[in-house]
Amino acid sequence: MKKICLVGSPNSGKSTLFNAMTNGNQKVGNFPGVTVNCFSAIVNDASESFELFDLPGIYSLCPYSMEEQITSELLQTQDYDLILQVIDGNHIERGLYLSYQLMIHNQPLLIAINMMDELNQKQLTVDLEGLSNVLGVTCVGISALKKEGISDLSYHLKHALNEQKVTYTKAQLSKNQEDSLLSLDAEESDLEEAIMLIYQRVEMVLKVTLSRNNNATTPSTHIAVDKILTSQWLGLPLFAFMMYFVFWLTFHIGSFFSNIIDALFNLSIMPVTSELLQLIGTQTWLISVIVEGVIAGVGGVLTFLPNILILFLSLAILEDTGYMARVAFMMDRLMSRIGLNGKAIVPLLMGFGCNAPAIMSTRMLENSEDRLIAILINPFMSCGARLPIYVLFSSIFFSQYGTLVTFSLYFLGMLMAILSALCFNGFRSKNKETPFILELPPYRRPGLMVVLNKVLQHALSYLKRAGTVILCASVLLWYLLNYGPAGQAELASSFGRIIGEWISPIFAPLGFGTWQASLSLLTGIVAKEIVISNMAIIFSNANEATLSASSLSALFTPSSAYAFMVFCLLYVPCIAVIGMIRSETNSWKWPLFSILHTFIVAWTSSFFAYRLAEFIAIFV
Amino acid sequence: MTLNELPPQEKAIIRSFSCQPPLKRRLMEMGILIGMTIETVGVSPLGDPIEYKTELMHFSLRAIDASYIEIDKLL
Repeated sequence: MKKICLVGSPNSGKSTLFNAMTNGNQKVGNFPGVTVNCFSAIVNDASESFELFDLPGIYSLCPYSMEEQITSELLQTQDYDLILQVIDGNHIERGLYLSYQLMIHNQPLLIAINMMDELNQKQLTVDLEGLSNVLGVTCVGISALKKEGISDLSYHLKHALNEQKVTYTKAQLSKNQEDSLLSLDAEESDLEEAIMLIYQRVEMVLKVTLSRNNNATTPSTHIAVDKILTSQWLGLPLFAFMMYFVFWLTFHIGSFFSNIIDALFNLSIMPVTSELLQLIGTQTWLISVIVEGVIAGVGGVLTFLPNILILFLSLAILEDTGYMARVAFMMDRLMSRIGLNGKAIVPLLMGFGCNAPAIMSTRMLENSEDRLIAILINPFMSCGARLPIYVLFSSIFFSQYGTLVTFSLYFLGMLMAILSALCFNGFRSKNKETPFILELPPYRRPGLMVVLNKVLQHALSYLKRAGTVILCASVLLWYLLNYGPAGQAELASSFGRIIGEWISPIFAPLGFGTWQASLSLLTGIVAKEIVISNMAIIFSNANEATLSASSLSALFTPSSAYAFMVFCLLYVPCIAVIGMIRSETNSWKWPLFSILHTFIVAWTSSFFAYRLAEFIAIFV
Repeated sequence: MTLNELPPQEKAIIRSFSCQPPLKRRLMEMGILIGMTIETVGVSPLGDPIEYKTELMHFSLRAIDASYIEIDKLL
């Protein structure tokens, strides 16, 4: 099957076009031959089918950040049949600059000029035919967001795929100049000449193909919006308010749906399944596995799907409107205090959703040491999977102060991230600082499909975990709780209790040295949401249909409940995150370091939290 | 005069870059070139970085990086 690479600068609408062309039927996959994760999709048409790869955005072929490195290395393999370049019509100069670089690879090229509708509004006209002739590359005008010109693009795509030789007119660069564009440590003079030559050429090309309707001033609404959103006095409060709003949505609206799902499981699915199985004469132990193991465990996780969906939806919207870039702009000063730059705020915020994709998104950071620090502090950003633990415990032990308690945990996580970053900074090599250039794209209405797709991908991976890892863990836990050295056993003499009691002394100084808490924490390393689904299983075994206040109160005091939450917040990242750290740092050293580091931080913080809470409790 | 000294809402022309190759290259590749008109849009709430705009794009630079860009102020 023919392979097409979708290339373009960041914010050029590449992903929107990708969605429009593939109708959202995409998967995260590897580009053949190179282990690079990117979205790909097979596009089937009556006459032709091809595979489309959405590569990370680049400004040029020079690899600054890891993301750009991926794209430029991939393009160098030449193991594809066509490059489809997306150009943001508003930044056509920069797009064409990249086009001339792409021509260096001598591979078939097709250009889609996006956001033609915005160009029309600005009264700019591009002579597409003229441009195609000058470049020797077919240029198609589209609006990916409004799905205009997509069929025209597919037509030309098919045509271009069947063309044998490339016909374009390159910028006349010498071999040295061409090479200098592709390498990081190029001869300075060659490089500058090359860049200037290309831009001069682009200017010449645009002189004859781009016409501006006279005295049509460009309405820059985004400056007006920026004046407010990044203003001296309102900028940061608005950001704080927006984050508060996101969490409010996640907690309040999310728990409304969570309660429905919870009720559905506990009041209908569990009893009904149990009765149905009895009707068909299933053995008691099997009913127990299915109802108390599988359904209780998976149900416990599914309950929190709405919270996680809302959080990811909000973050995706903030990112796709262009607001995240402003957040990076506003937070740069603060982030530089901990040795990072403003861009590092994005992975940290994403960590509130899920640390695994957040760690992957550190690829956009140019400096490798920045990136390592951003990876190592990320697990302290409290992910969505830890939220259920806080929601449950704080609602039981701190009733009306629940939200406040939960907030304190999020802040503690951030504090630990900051302290760790400061600590790690001491070990940095004293090399040159990486310059911080951040493009501030115009504010845009996010594409519905693009946003929904992002959310869908996260939801699917969450569900996949519920269906695989968590399902297995639930069954295993059910076994540990229902069987002991002497075969089938009561909870009191089960394997689970033995293991839990064996490790519980570690947690005794923290106030929750019970075997139930210890076992939950141990299995929580598989995935943090399991801490709660385990509690559900442990207590449904004790003949409690739901995790009620009374059953938890028997195990925890408010102080030890708080210490438990602190521990859950900070301790060892889940398997998915450990695996992600392993693959992103390409060594076992850093995941192991992270496990040790987080455990020490968690134990110490939890210890002090417990002592402090006990001390306060004397006076309350 | 250097770029970090350009007050908000004022325009200048980029005369030269005196910065290290990585920053210079990045600026040039993003389309920030010698001879271009550049305008200071505003300053981040915490005083750094600074937002600039050229005909081609909006972007932000830290004051320290902007101080390597020589400009001629337009009156």
